[in-house]
Amino acid sequence: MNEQNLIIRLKNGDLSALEALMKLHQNYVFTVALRMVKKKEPAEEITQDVFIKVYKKINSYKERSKFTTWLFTIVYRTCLNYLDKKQIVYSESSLKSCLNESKVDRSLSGLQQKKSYSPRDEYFGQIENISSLEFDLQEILWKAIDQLSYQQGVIITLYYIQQFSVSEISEIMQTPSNTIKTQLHRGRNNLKEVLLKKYTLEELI
Amino acid sequence: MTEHLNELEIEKYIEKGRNALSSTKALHLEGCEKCRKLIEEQLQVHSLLKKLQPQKVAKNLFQQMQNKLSIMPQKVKKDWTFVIALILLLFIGVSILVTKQTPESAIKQKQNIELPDLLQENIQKVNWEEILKQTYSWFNMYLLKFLLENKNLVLIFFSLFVIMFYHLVDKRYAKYLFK
Repeated sequence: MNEQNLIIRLKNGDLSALEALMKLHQNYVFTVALRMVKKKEPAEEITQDVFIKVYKKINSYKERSKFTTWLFTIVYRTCLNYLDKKQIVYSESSLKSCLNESKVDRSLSGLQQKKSYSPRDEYFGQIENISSLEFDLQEILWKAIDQLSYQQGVIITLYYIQQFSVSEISEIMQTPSNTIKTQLHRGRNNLKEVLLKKYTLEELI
Repeated sequence: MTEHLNELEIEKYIEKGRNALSSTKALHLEGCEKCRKLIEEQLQVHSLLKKLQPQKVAKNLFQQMQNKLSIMPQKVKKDWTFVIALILLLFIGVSILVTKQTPESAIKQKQNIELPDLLQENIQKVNWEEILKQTYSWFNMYLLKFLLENKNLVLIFFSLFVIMFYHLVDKRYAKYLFK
């Protein structure tokens, strides 16, 4: 079923169209939400909330931009609201310091010190045991991405999973394109540092 | 030797290839091992990330969401039948009024129009109190006569009122009435 038709049907209040749209996008929405909130249950909750918002606000989607751009703007904002409500505060200063650090270790320790609570804590234990896990590239990559700042994680996810362009990501995150490019570059650099602790890049490729 | 490639230039290279660089930067890249290594590493991570697949969500997510939706108040859809009914009723009402005006009634109307001139001439002699009483009784009489003569029109306006009232009730209280 064409996405355009599904949107028209949804605008007429057809719930089966929402189900079809969910089937198309739910894994992507969940993946992005998971990068931001770092826990499975809240990410699932957010995924549901996002599609409820889509159902309620579909008439405000004017088709000037791609549906997915509109959808992921909702995802990003819903996640930000969730983080605000849970007071998972990545303060401006901690973020800036994190983004300016070239060494991922130093940025991570900075975040750990400044955050009152980190949902990533549960991952830190697991990441140490990554070599004992089965050599699963997807799992390794996702766990490594989860060690980046949530902005870098989201940018990488949107760029590589959803295949958004830099300008589309800039629209979703309301951030200048050059900042997105810089974050993408630093995100890859940080990821390389994380991965090189345990593997060589050739080994993974 | 020119400056090393900055983050944005490396990003441009990764996105669009060597041609995206200016000739000076391309020349620099040929001679600079550090920049070449940086780009190579970025390209390796880039090709690794291209293999990423989305993580899978619980299959019954839509069902769970439906439960949430059923708790929420239903969307009140825009209903244009009200507007169409209104236009239709007005059209019928006006049509009835127009068709009721026979040539005789039109002549009578013309004669009535001359009445203000007569009043104008005798305006000083008029007993206003008497006129008001007369007008009031005429009004009542004509209203009653009008209502009796135009039963259809009265019926139409009554229906119109019912529709408007229903629409108002439906819009405000439908969510409570039809849960």
